[in-house]
Amino acid sequence: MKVLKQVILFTALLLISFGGSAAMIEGKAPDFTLKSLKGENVKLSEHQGEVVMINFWASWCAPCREEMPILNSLYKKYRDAGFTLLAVNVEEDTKGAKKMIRDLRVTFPVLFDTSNEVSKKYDVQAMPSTVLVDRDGNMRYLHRGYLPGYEDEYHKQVRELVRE
Amino acid sequence: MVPKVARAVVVGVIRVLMQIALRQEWPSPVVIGIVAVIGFSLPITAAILPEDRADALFHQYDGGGVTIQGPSLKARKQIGKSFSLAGSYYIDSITSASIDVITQGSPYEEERKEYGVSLDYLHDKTTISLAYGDSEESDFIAKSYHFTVSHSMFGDLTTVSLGYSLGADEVYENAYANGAIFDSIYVGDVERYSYRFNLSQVLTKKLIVNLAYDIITDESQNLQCDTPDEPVCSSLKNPYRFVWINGGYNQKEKYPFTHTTNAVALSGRYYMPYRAAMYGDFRFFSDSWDVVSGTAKLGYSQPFKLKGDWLLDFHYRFYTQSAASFYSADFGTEELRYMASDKELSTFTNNSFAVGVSYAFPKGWWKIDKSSLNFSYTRIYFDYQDFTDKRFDSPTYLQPYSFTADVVQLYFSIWY
Amino acid sequence: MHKIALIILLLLLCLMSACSIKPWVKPYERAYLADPIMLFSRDPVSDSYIHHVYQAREGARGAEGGSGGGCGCN
Repeated sequence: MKVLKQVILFTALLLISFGGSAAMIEGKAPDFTLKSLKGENVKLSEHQGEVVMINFWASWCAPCREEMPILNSLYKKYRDAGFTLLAVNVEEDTKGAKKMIRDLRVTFPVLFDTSNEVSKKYDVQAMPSTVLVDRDGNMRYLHRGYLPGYEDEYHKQVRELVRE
Repeated sequence: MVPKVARAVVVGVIRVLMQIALRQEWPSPVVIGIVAVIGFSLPITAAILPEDRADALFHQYDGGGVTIQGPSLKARKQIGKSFSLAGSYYIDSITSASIDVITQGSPYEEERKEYGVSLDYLHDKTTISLAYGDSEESDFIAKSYHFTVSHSMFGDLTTVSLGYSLGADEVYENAYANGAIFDSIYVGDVERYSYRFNLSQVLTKKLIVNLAYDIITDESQNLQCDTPDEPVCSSLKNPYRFVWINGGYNQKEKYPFTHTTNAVALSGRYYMPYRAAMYGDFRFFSDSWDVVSGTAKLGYSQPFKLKGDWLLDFHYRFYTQSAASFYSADFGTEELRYMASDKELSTFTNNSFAVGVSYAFPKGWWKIDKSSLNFSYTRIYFDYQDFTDKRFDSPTYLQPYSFTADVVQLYFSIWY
Repeated sequence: MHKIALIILLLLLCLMSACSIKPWVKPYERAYLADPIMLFSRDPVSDSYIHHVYQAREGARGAEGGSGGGCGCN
């Protein structure tokens, strides 16, 4: 009983962690080809020379849904400066995803990774996950999850990469 | 590496401070181990707070001569990035002519009101919850305080939660004259301590299981009667109940001054090959009064589309318990230290069949993202084995008692 | 009591990636688990009411409800 009491009372303390939202990452962004909402095949390497934000999302993920309008305004703001956003949907059944895109009226390209090949290539460890790729095709930043406030970092990092 | 070391140092320092504050002995190596392990879990990602929603439910119970109905309201809202606040209000309007009341007292009406408030704090993968509940009726006030820590780990496949609750009850006995209460006599208090452990584990893409363990202790305190050491004064019993001795309900019940209960439960939910879910719950219970019980529940949820999103839910629940060591339907002429004839402590089983229907409205409106209308009906068959019907005019006079209850719930929910 | 706690400790250590076992359901494979029909408590208000109905009439109490599962987001 005393051990239990101690465990419970002390468990409250454990929860100090120092994780942030973004991590710097290295390496060439693995190339992939996925079908887009419009039906055409989109290849990542075709976007070499542009800053690419790859966002992994699903219709069943509430933070992904919250993040969409922010990604939309990010896309609209920087697309003329050589920035593009590829939203990779990770669901086997695309019905829910297509409905969400319609409801939220997003303007950026949406790709479907129905076999989860690309999710595996990028070792997606959280939903949503956002990878920022520079003009040379190198991965630079990784965001795991989404909390209100992350958009400030998105803007900062996109601005930085676009100026390179 | 540096953040991990820093975290361990901070955890260690706080632990030392808490030690001093609580004047405990040094924790056992096991505790240190568990603290260290959870403290070092990789803070890659966080979990999420419960969703914002409000529910308005109408409930009604009708069975065994008792009808209870009323509203149950709850609303929850996220505040900022890390907090979620919820408030609830509940009323039971009771009209009781149960077998106990008929044979030992007289029918009565009562109203019980309960309100609650809770706050959740999310940091990274950990949620800390604080909750307070207050229930009041003419002869009983119950206040409860709850603290829970919940931690999601191993790629969010595992969730561990530990909880600690305190309860403080004030027990009164009403004196009636001409059907109305003219006095409320203070009997005493009940202090309650409870520890809860919960482990939830995702086993496959379609199967999740949960293990729960609770230990709760009640202590009778601050007894006001002239002989506070006598079991007849215990505040753990219903002050209006008698035991059957010497041919009638001739004496008040005599209860122990403490009650410790243990329950362990295993539940699972499985996603069918088509869109539907099957679920099962199994609980084993035993307590310091020798009551042993088993509960088994099996259910099925089937969504379907018909001009909107519908959900059909069916479940069957089985419950069986064996009597407390000091229970008897008839003590003859024997006077024992502890005595109870309350049917709640007898040997019995019950079988419940429930069906529920939900309809989710297709469109949101203004700030409301989603709304649903829900109805459920549960029929419970209670069959007592060693609690006998002492009503002289009953067709089951001196036979084991049984009754059927109907439970109806109608509720409207909104998400925003 | 200490034995049980030690077993839990070892299990937790494993889960903390001290073992070579990696999470076998990836975050992007949680479509079924995130479905509302797979929640242990889909309607908390209704669940707490029905638990109260049984608890008031039965000798048993506790170990009701579960948590975890869901989308595992963030």
